[in-house]
This record gives sequence, C-alpha cells and structure tokens, in this order.
Amino acid sequence: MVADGVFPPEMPDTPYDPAERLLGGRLDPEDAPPGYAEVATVLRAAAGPPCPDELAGQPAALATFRRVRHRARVRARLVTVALAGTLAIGGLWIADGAHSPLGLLSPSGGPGSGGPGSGAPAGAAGSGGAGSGEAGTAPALRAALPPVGAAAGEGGGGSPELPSTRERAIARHGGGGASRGGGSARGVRPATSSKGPTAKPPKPGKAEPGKAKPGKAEPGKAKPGKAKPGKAGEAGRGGGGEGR
Amino acid sequence: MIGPSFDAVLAGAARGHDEAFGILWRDLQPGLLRYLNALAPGAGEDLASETWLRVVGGLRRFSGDERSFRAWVFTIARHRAVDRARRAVRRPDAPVPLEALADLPAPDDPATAAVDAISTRAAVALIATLPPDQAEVVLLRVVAGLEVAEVAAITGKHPGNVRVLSHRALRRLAELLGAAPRVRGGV
Repeated sequence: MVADGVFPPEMPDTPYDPAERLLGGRLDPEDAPPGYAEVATVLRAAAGPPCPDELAGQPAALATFRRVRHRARVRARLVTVALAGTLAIGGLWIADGAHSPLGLLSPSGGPGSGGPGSGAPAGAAGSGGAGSGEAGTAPALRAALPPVGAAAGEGGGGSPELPSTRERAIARHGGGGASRGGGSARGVRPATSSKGPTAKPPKPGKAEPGKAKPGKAEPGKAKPGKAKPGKAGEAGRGGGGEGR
Repeated sequence: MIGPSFDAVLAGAARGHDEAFGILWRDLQPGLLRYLNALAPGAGEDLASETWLRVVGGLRRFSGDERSFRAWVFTIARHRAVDRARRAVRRPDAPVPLEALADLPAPDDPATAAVDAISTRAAVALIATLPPDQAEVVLLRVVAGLEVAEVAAITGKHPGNVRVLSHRALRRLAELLGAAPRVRGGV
C-alpha cells in the first residue's frame, strides 16, 4: 500500500516537491517515494515520445491548414474588392451629386438647375443649383459640396460660409430655402448687409422648421417672375448669399 | 516543447507556411490526442481535428509565448470535448482497462520494469480510469506539460484544488498499480 504522508496536503510548490517532480516527469522511478516508482514509470510513459500512429494524420492536417488559409486569403481578397467597390461607388455617387448629372440631389430635377424658382440662367448654374438643392433630401451633403458652375468665382468665394448659413436658412424658413434661394435676385444684396440673416432676429413662429408652411418650401411654387435676367451675372453672389 | 524558435515558428504558421505549422502540429498533436482520448474515448481524432481547425482560424490573433500557446490549444481542445459531451445522448462508458494492460510490468518483475515496456497508450488508458477531474488534471500536467496555474485556468478550478486533485490522483494510481499484481498473483 501507499505510505501515508508521502504527499502532505499542504506541499510547497517547488521543483523539489515529489508530486510536482512526478507530474513534471522529473522524478526517476528509483528516486520516487516508496510505492510510487510504478507511478513514476506510468507518468513517464504517458508523456513519452509520439507514436507513429499519433503522427499519421499530418498530411491531412496540413491539407486542412492549406485549405483554411486559402479560404481566408480568398475571403480577405473579396472583402478588399467589396470595400474598394463600395468606396468607388460612393465616390462616384458623391461626384454625381456635385455635378448632379442625374439630378439625384436636386429636387427641381435639374443639374444645378436654373430650373423653376432659381431665377438664374444656366450660366449661373452653380449657385442657383445649390440654392434649389437646399430644399432637397440631402442638405447636409449639399452643404458639404463646393459650388460648381460658371459663377463659382463669387459664389465659391462665399462657399466656406455656406454650411452654416444654409443650415440657418433652412432652420429659419423651414425648408423654404428653395424658394428663397430660387429668388436669387435677393442675393444681389451684399451678404454683409445689416439686413442680412444674422442681423435679423427670426420671427417667432416662422423661424422654426416645424411651423414653416410646406407650400412655400416647394421649388415649383416659387415665382419665376422675381428673377431678373439682367442680373444673371450676379447670381453667383446670390449663391454666396443664398443661405438666406 | 519547441523552445527558443517558437516565436519564429508561430509567426511562420500565422503567415501560412506549411513547415511552420507542421512543427506546431507535431509538437502538440500527440499530447492532444492522449488528452482527448482520455476525455472522450474513441473521439480523440475528431476532436483533435476540430481543435486544429479552431487553432488555424485563430493563429493570426494569438499572441504569447509557447506555454501560453499550449494552454490556448488545450483550452480549445477541452471546449471541443465538453461540447461533444453535451451533444452526446449518453456518454459511452470507458471500461476499466486494467486487465487489458497486458504490457504493464509487475513491479516485482525487474525484467519488465523498464520504462519502455509500458506503452504510452496503456499508461494513458490507466490514467483515464481515474475519476474524470483527477484524470484531466494529471493529463494536463503530464501530457500537455502545463503548470498548476495554467491547468487551473483551463479547468476553471482554483490552483489549490488542482494540487489536491493531482495528489489524490497520484495516490489512486499508486493504489491501482500496487493492487494489480496482488490480484494477478492471487494474494
């Protein structure tokens, strides 16, 4: 039988601990405590060198490894291609939005239109288009885009202020920016005018988007008669002040 | 154990080099098979394959030294075995293999007392007759070459419990080996 007290319950965890040495395969059967020589032999055998049949599956394991790695590589390539495609499509879509060849971002249907309500001829399409796009479905995207068009010189000069002024205008007129912007003849006034949008305190009830009359916000209802063809060259400035 | 070249081997395997993976596989597969065959008799090969699939899938994400890698692989293996046991309708019985250990030497027979006379399979089978928690602790210590803290982490036990279990297992093994020749000798 096994001698009691060979492995006390509270043994120090040191390399000299017989149990630890047994379990670590560092104890020769000759050096084992009485009754434990066979245990040492068995434990050594259990940790012995690999048998041939234990390594027989190596070709299959390597084949599996190759297959899994190949699949992972293909998947990574597909993800890269999909990402690149998404980025390309996104870039094209944004570029389309900038030039509006499809009219996706322009509710008036025109590419940067001198459409109804814009009051600007096609030559001033940059600012006028931007003005009409304000009431569209993607104002934030619109605001982020630089004005494009023949009148982009002056209109572009005002472009750094565009996002904030546009947003203010949208908030003030409840999406009526199209008709306002469409009447871009108002833009003839210098943006620094004391009657500018920042100088005017918004009238309560009209300033909140929720209270704006939707009918006024529709570009189609803007009065084209307000546009002065003679001032077409200034439409660019209207673009700069179109945030009103 | 692979030794100082382990980092390079691991990096090569993570990059998809067959040779590097082969080194890892040859180092760990025998211990993995012995451990899994004791935990789930007859299913060691399948479980080892599942384990290696997981290992290959996670090679790129693994970072650590060789001991950590061994502990990680055996943790995966244990999870596979536990999952299989849960799926099984009933766990197949592991018959006591003492009578089957024909090549186990009698301690009083010096001619057969050589270590080589005990086959690895017989030794693992004998350890597998221990209570499951004791057998698992002994196999993780002896076959996988893990330390107490690593075994405790894998099995979810306190290190003190692991020590107690391993000491009980050693006592039990000594009793089994001491009792076997007496039974055979008719004493």
